[in-house]
Amino acid sequence: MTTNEVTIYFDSPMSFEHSNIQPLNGIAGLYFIFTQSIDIQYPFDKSKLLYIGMSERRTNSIGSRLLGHFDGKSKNLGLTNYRKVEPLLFTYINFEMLKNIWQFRIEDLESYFILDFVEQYGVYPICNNKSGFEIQNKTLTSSFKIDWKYFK
Amino acid sequence: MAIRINNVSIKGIRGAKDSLELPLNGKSILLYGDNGTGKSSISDSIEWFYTNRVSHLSSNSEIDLKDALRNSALDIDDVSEVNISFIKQPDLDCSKTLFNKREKLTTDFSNTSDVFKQYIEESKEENLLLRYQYLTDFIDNTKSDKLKYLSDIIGFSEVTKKKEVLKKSYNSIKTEIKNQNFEAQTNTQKQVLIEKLGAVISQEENLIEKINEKIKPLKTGIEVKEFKDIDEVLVHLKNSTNNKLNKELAFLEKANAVLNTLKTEIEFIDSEYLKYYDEFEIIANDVESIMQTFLGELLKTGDAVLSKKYHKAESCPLCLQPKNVDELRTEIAKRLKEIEESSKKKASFDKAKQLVNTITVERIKRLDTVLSENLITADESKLIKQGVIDLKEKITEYQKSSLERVTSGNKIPKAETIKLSTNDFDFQNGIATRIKQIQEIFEKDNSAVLYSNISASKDAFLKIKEFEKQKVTLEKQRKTLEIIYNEFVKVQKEGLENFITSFSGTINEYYQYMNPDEPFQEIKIVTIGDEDELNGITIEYKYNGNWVSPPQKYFSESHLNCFGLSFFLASVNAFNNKNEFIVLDDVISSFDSNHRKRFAELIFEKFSKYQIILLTHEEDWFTNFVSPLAKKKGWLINEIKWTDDKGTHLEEEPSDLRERIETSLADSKIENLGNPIRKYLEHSLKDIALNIEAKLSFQYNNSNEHRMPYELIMGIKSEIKKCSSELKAKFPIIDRVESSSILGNISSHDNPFNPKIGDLKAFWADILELERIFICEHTDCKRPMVSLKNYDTVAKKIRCGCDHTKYDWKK
Repeated sequence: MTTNEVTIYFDSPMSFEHSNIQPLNGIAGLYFIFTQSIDIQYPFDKSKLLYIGMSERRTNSIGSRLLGHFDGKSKNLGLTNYRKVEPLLFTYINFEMLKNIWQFRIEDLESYFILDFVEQYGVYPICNNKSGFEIQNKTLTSSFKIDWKYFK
Repeated sequence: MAIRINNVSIKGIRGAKDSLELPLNGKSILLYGDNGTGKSSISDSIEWFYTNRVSHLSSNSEIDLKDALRNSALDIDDVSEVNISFIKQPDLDCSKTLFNKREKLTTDFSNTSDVFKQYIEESKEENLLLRYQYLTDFIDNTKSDKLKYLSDIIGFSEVTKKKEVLKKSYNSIKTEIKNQNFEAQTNTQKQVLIEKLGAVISQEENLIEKINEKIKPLKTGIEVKEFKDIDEVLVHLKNSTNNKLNKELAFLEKANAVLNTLKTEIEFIDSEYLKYYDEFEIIANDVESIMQTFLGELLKTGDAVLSKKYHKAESCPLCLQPKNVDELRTEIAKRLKEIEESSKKKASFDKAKQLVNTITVERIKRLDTVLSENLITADESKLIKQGVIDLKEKITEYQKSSLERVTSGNKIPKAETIKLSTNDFDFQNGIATRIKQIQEIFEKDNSAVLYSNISASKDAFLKIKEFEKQKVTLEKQRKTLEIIYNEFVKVQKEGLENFITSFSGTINEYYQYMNPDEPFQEIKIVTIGDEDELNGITIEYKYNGNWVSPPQKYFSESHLNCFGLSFFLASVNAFNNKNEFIVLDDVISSFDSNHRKRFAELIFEKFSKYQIILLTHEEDWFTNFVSPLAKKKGWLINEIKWTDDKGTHLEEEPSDLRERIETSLADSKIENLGNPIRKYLEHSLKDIALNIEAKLSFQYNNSNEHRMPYELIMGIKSEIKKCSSELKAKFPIIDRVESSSILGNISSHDNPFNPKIGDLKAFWADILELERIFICEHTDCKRPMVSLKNYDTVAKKIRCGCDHTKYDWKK
C-alpha cells in the first residue's frame, strides 16, 4: 500500500483550551489550528486553517508546542490575535500511525502538508509566517490526499 | 447547652486530704491561696476529671501521674475522688475515683451513661482550663504545629482527610488513563484503516465516503448512507467469497493488531519498569527506611487508637507497659516526623509498582483475547500461539516483579534481562506471510478482498470509537474530580481563612483591651502555604506601623503572656459550645499591676456570662482589686488554706464551722477541734466588737483579719465598761471564756494541746452563752445582732433589730 495514495482525514476538532492540550504531552506529529467561523480568503479558496505546526520529538511534544501557542510564549501574534476575536479549534496527527507509510522525518511531513496547502490554496497558512519551503527528500514513495475541506 | 458547675468535691487528690468542697451553685468564685496551700489541687482535679491528664505533671516523664495525683497521706485502701455536679444537669453528675485494685492504681467513673461519655468527649475539645506556665504554648509551637492545633479544634483535619481521598481518586483515574494508552491503541487501529482503506479515518462520514468509493466499481447498487448500511455491503460481498479464509484473515489481522499495539508499547512498558526497578533498588538498599515506613503505619494506627480512646488505660496499647498516654502520643509524633522522608520514598515506590502492575495486567488481558480465539488451536496457528504465549510469559515476569515484596530480600530482575524487544515479535513475520498468501488468493477475487478490507476497517473503526468513548469517560471523570478537588481546596482554605480572620479579630480585641495605647497593633494569625497545601500558621502584628513576625521579636514576657491569655479567651469564645465555665489558675503571675487590673476588668466585662473559677496567689491583687469587683458581681470569694490535719481546704463559713464543731463534739471526735473552735470564737468576737464599736489598735488589712480572741475580748470589755452597766453585769460569762485554759492554749495557730472532751464541751457552752448575750433569740428578729446600728436614741439603749434584746448604752 505504501506506494498508493492515502487519504488523510482529520479527527474531530477540539476547542483550543488547556484541558484538551494537556493530554497531548509525549505525542509527536503535526497539529492544525483553525477558526470556528472566520474564513480566511486565500488566493485560490477560502479556509479556516490558520497554522500548521509540528513537534519533531516526544520531549518537545504536540502538547508542549500547543501550550506555547496557548499561553503566548511562542509569540505568534496572528494566533494570539485571532484567539482574541473568537475561540479557536485544533486537531492533530500522531506521527506514530504514519510511520509505516512515511519513511522520512516529521519535518518533511510538515513540509509536505504545507506545500500541499500552498498548492491548493495558493499561499502558506496565514499564521505560518514562512517565506519559502523545500522538501528535503524529493523521492517520495507516499502521496497523500489531504482532506482540506475539513477546514472549510 | 450551657453547662455550669453546681458543686466540686475533692478528696484525697494532690494537696486535698479530707473533702474539699466548692459549693458554687453555678456562681463564679475567686479563690486566694498563698503559695504551697495547694490551690492547684482544684485545677488539677478538674483537668484530670475531664482529660485524664494533668498537663504540668504529664509533661514530666519521670512522674507517674496516678501516683502523683494521690494525696501522700492516704492509706493504700483510701479512695481518691473528684465529684462534680452540674446545674440542671443531674444526668451528668459524676464521681471519678482513683483507687488501688490488685496493687495497681485504677480510675473509674461512677456515671457510665452514654450521655455522660459523650459529654466528656465533647468537653475534651473545649478550652476549660488555663495555667500560667502554659500561656505561651501556642506561640512556642512550630508553624505546622500551630496549624495542626487549630485544625484539630475546628475540624479542619477531618476535612483534610477527605481532601486526600479526593486526591487519591483523582490520581487513580490519571493512572488508568496512562495505563490504557488510548493513543497507542487508536494508532494501531488507524494503521489498520490505512492498510485496508488507504485513509486515516476517525469520523463516520469519512469512513462512509471511503467505503462508497471502494465499492463503486463493483456496481452493487448499494450506497452506504449511514453506518448500519456497511453490514448490507458486507453481506453482499460475503456471498461471493471464501468464508473460511475470511475468518482466518480476520483472526490473523486481529492478532496482528494486538501485537502491533504491544510492539509500539515496548518503550512505554520498559521505561515504566525501569522506573520501578530504580525505585525498588533505592528502597531495597535501604531496608531500614522501608521498615521504618511500615513502623510508621503501625505508629499512625497506634496514635489513632489512642486519640479515639479505644485504649483507655495509661499504658502502651501494644506492649501494655505502663506509660502516660499523652507522653506516648508526643513520642509517636516525633518518630512519625523522623520517618516522613522514608514515607515519601515509599509513596514514590508504591506508585511505580502499582503502575507496572496495572500495565502488565492490562497487556496480559489483551494477549488473552488472542489466545481465546477458536483458530488459535489450529495447527497452522501453532507458531502464533507459541509466540503469544512467550510474550505473555515475558510480561508475566514484569508482573511477578511488580508483586515482589521489597522487604523479602529478593532482587527483581534487571530491566535488560527481562525487557521486551522487537525480536520477541519476529513470529509476526509468519502472520504477515499468511496474510499475504490469503490476500494473493483474494486478489483473484476482488469481492473477497473488499469484504476483508471493509470488515476489518469496520472493526477498527468501532474500536477507535470505543477507545474515544472510554477516553472521554475517563477524561470527564478526571476533569470532574479535578474541579471538585480544586473547589474543595478553595472552599477549605477560604473557610479556614474566614474563621482565622474572625478569630484573629477577637484575639486582637482582648489583647488591645489589656494593652491600650501600646505600639503593637492589629495582632493576627495568618496561614502559610500555597493554593493546594497549607503548611503552617504564624502570628503577625504591626509594630510602629510595620508588620512584624514572629511575636517573640519585640514582645516582652508580659506581652507574650497577654497574647497567650487573649488566645485562650478567644478560643473559649469560639470553641466552647458545651460548657459555660472556665478555670484560670494563677494566670497573671508575670503581669505588672496595670496588666493585672486590665485583665480583671476584661474578665468581668467580656466574660460575665461564664462561670469562672479564678485562682490566684497574688494577695494584693486579690485583696485590693479583684475582691471588690467580684463582690459587686455576686461572685463567691474564699481563701485556700493548708494544714497538717486537713491538707488543702477552704476557709469555712461560721455556720458551717458551728455545724462541724457540734457534730464532732456530739460524736466525741475532739482530735484537732481546737482550731475550728478558735476560728469560730474569733469570728464571733469580731462581730460583737464591730457592732458595739469596740476600739482596737490599728492594723493593716491581713493582720487586722487575724486578731487574737484575747485581744478582742479585752477590747469588748473595755467598751462595755465605758458604756453599759447592764452588759457589765454579764462580765462573768465573758470572763469564763477569757480565763479558760483552752483559750490560752489554742490561741496559737499551731498548737499541739489536746484537751479533754468535757473541757471542750464546757468551753463551747461558754462561747454560745457569750454569743447569746449579743444575739437576739427571737426567731422573727430580722437583725438579731445587738448593734449600735439599732441604737435607741430616746431610751439610750443598744439593741437588736426587733427591740427584744437590749441593754443600756451611753454614747
